[in-house]
Amino acid sequence: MKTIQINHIAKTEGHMSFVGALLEGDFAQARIETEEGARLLEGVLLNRQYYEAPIVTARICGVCPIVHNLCSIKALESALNVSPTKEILVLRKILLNGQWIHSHALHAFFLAFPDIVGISNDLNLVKKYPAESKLAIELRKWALDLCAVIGGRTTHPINSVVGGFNVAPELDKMKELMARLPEMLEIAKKIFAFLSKFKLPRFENPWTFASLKNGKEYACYDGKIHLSDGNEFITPELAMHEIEERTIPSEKVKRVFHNDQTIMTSSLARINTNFKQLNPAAKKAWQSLKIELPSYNSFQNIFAQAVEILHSLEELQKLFEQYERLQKASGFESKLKVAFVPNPGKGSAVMEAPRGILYHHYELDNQGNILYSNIIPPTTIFLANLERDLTAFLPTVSKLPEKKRNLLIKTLIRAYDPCISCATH
Amino acid sequence: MNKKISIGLFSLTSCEGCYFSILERIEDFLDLKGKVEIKNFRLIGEEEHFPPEKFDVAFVEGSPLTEENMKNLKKIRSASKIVVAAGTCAQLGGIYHMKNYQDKEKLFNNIYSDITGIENYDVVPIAKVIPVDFNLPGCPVTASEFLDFVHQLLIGKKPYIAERPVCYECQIRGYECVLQKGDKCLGPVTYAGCGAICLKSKQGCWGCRGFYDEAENGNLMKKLKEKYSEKEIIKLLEVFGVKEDLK
Repeated sequence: MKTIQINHIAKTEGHMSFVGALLEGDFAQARIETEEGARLLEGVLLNRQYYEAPIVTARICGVCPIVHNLCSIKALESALNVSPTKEILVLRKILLNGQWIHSHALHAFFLAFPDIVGISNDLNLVKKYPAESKLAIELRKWALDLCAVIGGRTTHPINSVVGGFNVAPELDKMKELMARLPEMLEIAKKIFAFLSKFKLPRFENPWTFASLKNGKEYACYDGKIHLSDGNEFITPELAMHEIEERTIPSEKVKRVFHNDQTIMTSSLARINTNFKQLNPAAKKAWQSLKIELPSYNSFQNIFAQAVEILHSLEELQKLFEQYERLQKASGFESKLKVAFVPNPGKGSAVMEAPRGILYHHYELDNQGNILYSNIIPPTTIFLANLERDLTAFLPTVSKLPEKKRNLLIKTLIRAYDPCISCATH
Repeated sequence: MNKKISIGLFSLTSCEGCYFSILERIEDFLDLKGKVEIKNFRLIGEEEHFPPEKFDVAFVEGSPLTEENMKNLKKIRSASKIVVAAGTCAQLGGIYHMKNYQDKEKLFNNIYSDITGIENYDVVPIAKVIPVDFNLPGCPVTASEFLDFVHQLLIGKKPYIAERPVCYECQIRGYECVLQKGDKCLGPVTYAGCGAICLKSKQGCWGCRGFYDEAENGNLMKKLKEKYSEKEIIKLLEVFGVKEDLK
């Protein structure tokens, strides 16, 4: 038996190592060992006030705090019977698309793409591809600024709370950012054209995939969970009955299964599920890749992210138009916050984080104290699937020189965009 | 200028939000390259430089929550001239510090009922484990304070953040006083430098940067007690781990 260990995999959110074993013939085992300590976040929230949850859960993750904040708010509003106004929903959707863009720009270009060209340090990437790096930085910066104008700050938002927003975004700053949207679309097209020239490893290992789906749009903020096995739809309320969380000795991250199968959730899963609802430029970009759908090549998640950047920018075009209309109407600011009183109740919510489906659930007493909470981030959902992919991939690279083999293993791991801070929470 | 100073950015158990916050100004961060040697930063590169290799300055983010975290923290200390606690978790315990106020065995069993082999430590500031030279406060730290800090080191100055309360920065920006309005706010006693960013969004300060040196809590507590119970005030002080610093 030959074992392969890769310690402390860098350029991911959170800490992990890879352990693989090749047994006789083509039989392999692969495991991800997570290395974050026990923060026990769901426990931390017990007996604390509901309004602390969006602030506390944002701090699960430094790269996707916005989606934790929003999903937490959505679940709490469901428990508290709060209905956000359309003004609130538009701003939340702008925030969420901004979150997708800045996370994808970072991951696709700076964390995952360097693997494809065998560059291990981004300082060297910036040297080798200065023009493209500059564009990726500019696009990311624009999206970060957009999130900061609405959320009050990018890392760990402040302004977005249960019931809506504390203050309206500064109008002149919004206008400035909106005016630059066409320029960002051009940049995103250039980045996609650049990335799509590179060849990704060929590897298919059909998996069950899950994404949110709804009749209105490429699901992001809203939808039911759609599972590809049996074409099932699950409401957020029933999510916990339909999936199974399994514990593993010494492992903080539970593994998620549906009908005994591992699940893929990601940008690629979303494109598989909702391709028809992609916006035109994004759709055209994906078609230019000539990749048949559904794709089960997890490496292609990096292309899916680059396509979703385009989609989100096109979506923002529509959302900005709605925002402008609503913002001009009288009483706009007063419609950004809905009044309510705490009441006992339960609420669940799902949302598409950059990395896939995110689930938050809370139970409150009549004072607004949290009695129970449960959070399932996308990395928890897909980790068992990543291990399944790695198990199948290992025999195909076992004869390669060590350096090349290890790079390919890390390439596959990073293509998933795993967030171990989220998964351990 | 003399030879470049070497910098290591290390993470213990954390959300890594402090380092993502620094990356929000990646162009300024990359500009540092000419002046400092960035020896360890896992978000941008794979090369692991780790003690016994030496560092002029080590930034440490997060909480020591595993045996491995503890060991690394001690190694970082012994290999570095200056150790900086970066962010609230490292400096004060941070959000996850709240775990200590509950029965952590019970919490653990609620989440992992049937498995063993997972360490379940109390959340402590890193200064409880190793001597710390400086704090870079905030949840998360701000890119501008990080860059200022590095620039001060480069010109041979002792890094310094002015000792004054968040209220100072709130008032000069003309933000509405939420404490006067009756909201919970720790602005009068909290170390400024954040630009009163939460107050800009009308969110009261919850003290993520810790109390400044000469902070007088008495008056603030009196003010808060007009509207809130002792228990509510304590819960507020627990969020970012400043309860223990109350004088």
